[in-house]
Amino acid sequence: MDLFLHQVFAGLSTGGIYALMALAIVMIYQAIDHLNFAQGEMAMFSTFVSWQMLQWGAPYWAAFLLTIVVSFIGGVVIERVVFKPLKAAPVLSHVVVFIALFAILNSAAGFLWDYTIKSYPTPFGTTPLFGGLISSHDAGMTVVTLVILLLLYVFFRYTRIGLAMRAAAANPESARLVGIRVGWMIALGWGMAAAIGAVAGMMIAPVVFLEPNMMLSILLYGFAGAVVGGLTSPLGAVIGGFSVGVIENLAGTYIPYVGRELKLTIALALIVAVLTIKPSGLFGRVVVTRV
Amino acid sequence: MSNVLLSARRLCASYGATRVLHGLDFDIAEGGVTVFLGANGAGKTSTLRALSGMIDTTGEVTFAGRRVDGSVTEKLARLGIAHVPEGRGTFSRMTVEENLQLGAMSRNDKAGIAADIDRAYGYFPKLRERATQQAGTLSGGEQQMLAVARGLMMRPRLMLLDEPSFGLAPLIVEEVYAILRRLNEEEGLSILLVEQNATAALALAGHAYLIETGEIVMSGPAQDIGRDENVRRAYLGY
Repeated sequence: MDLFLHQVFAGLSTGGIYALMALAIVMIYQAIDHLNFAQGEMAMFSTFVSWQMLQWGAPYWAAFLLTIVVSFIGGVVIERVVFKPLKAAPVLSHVVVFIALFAILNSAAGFLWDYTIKSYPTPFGTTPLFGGLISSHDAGMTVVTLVILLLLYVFFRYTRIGLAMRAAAANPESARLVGIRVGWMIALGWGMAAAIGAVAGMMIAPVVFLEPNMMLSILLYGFAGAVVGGLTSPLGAVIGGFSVGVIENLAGTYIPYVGRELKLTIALALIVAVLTIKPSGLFGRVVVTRV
Repeated sequence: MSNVLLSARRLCASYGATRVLHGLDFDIAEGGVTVFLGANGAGKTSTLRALSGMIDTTGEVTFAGRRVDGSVTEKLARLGIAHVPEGRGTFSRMTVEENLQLGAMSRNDKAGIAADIDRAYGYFPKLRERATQQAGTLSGGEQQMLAVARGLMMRPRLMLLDEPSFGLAPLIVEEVYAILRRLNEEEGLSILLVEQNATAALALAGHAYLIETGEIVMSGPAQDIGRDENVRRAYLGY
């Protein structure tokens, strides 16, 4: 029982990482209807930017906030410069550009900050809490995830610009006809996704350490979380992220042969299973239509 | 004719290499109802899409005294052209009330928006009952009413309606047209509608254009067009 509880909590703390990443993925999916394969690398790059600020002597929270702002602007700029000219292009062109972006950001980070593994500070400390079930950093990260989720909910549910963003994503043609500047709504979505990704990166880096490839497997787990929860639901993405963390840990402990090596396979198996059984995910909106 | 609100000269439009409108000249009267009649594929929808900047066009379009050809869709909407498109353009996953809020997206007067939502519910009481329901679950007639109500929320100077009778039962068509008449008479709303249902449209309209394969072939007061032998045979069925 003790082992079980420990594994669940350990799963929840890694799950917090996946949840944050899944949230960023869902965010951009809502805005552009595509999965952004470069999401992880954008987050990694943002984390390096904050690391550089810390190296220059900035206080943690100043670097944190400034990085969010820089990432938001970066996301908007990427959309305006790279994706706006592609808006009529087929899906495959987008996918190719996502991959290009992935490679560029990865190499640029390696070029600027090299590939050595760097430690990254946590603002929450690493004190064990609840008799060692969870560390203070994991708890802090979970709180940050939930705060972002709450902010997103309020933004999309209760603000006019949030409503306009949802409309632009759901039905761009109608949105234009009521005067919504759809292009800017998409850019805004990119900015927000980049900002959330930055937070994810800065929360994850103390655990997995900072290096250009830190996000590779995490992005996969984030995709798994987003798919499990439903790509249309931020709440689902967060719950999905936590679930993937817990399932992965329990499977690694209790199913023979899985161990550490096959954990990533669990994430992929989850994606396949969910897409087969319930394509909209556990919390995805099922669209009601009249025919 | 009274004041001209919108006029088009040599309006051409194409989808890629296929030209669908071949130099239309027409005027829309301020405060009037103008109708474009024509068969399937005659270019009625394309005309509206051209006026809303949704397809490639050439020619001159003047709206409320300024040249607007070449403007993007969202700008034309903000200038006061409310286009209720083919298929009604409902935001089907959102609630009825959110759809109305979206109609007011180009405005910033909170009190005015709230008052206009109330006014829209006044015209369409059924929508008030369904305010929190997903718009995609409404019946066809209710969705058409929601689309008109959403257009009203823009406080438009001109409303473009693409086949408001499409797919509706005759009684519902009557209901929709009665409301359009009230909007025109009570609010002075200028309307341009395209229809296949010539009977309903000619009864409402002051001026009519007949369009065939992308060209205007006849134009005149709606009453006269309704009495024309050929129009009667082709569009009214008697």
